[in-house]
Amino acid sequence: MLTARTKTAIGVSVVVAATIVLHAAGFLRPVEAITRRGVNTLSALVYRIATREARDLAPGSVCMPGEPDATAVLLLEEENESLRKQLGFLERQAVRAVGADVIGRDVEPIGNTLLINRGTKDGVARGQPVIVDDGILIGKIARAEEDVAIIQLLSDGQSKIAATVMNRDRSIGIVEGGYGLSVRMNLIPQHEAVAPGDVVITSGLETGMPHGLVIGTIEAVEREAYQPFQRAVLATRAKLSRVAFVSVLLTDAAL
Amino acid sequence: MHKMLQTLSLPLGIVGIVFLHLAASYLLPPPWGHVNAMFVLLSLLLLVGESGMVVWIAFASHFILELYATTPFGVILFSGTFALLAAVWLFRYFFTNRSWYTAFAVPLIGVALYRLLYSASLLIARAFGVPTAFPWRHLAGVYGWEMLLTSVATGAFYILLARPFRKKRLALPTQWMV
Repeated sequence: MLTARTKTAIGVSVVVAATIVLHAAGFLRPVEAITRRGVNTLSALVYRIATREARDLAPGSVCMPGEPDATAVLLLEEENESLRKQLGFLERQAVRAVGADVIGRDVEPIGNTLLINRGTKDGVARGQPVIVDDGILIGKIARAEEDVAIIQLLSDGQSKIAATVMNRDRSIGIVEGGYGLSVRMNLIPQHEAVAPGDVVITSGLETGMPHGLVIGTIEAVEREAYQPFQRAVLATRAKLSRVAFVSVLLTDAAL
Repeated sequence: MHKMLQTLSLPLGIVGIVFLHLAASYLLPPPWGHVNAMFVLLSLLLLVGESGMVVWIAFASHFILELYATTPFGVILFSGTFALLAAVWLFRYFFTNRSWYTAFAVPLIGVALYRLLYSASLLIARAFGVPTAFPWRHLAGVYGWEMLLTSVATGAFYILLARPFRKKRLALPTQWMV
């Protein structure tokens, strides 16, 4: 004879399992789309406030009557500058791209991700690179739904990007995340000379990732004797806590 | 009319819980941002309402969070729902009363169980070939902060709410009671 607690546990298990199966089969898409629309608006509102605070603006800035808010003007200038750089880069490279607002970020400890308000209906697909400013790579699209997508940032534990060091040897390696806020470039051949200050860019050897997107600068090099490869610690160019606008390059990508 | 308001309050309440969870995560600086606001609110709802309905509210809230996660679908939903179910049983059959130490202990154990189930689910997914990162050192630190901050926040809010809700119970919809 089953106790009430056992029956409850079975009931809850059945509902959770059914939800997972229905999601996998795609039957929950309409419900998920409606839910996302509502939550996206709230998430965007809170994220905007959070990124504004992250820009270390002085609190309680004095505003004279009739004068525009100094904080708002500064924010608009920054956003204008970022958008101009992105537009300039896209025109020079002649790549198809779509602009997107960042409307949220990850709340789980696993993963360093951002949420944007563009999805498959805008041509966004998994594996496509995402840039800010003047062609600075911040990550790849990890998941795309109809009207939202999730960007896997360079610092994410599962992020791997084929890269080249702008040194004499044009050393190649893999830029990986999962080291807190920093990223590392692994599998650099031991005999090739890399030094702090060298710029690292995408190598173009990866499907859907164009050559020449700036990843960051080498801060430190780690070598061990008798190992075939060396590692480098990189500082990324973009301040990932303050990203508000991005461009997704609409390449033919696959993760 | 009353029933209609009661029915509408549930989905709005669930969205409100998710909104506050996102707000706490985005706005609070680290390590304060590690507080699990969803667990704080659900634990308070359990303490004040003394209703198993909180498990289904947890189910719905974690379903919404799943839509924005990069972990395999089901990890957050499964862990969150069963952790709240365990919290309800703990409250009903072990602590059996509303007191300040219950307000600290229930979310502490609830979050510990949530993260235990979450980690186990990720490791199982990994064993089946699903590419999943598991930086256990980083996670251990984050989990510790989350447990501490969530239990302290719940206890603090409970102490503030204890006087007005001492003799009252929050009327939650009685359908789908656990």
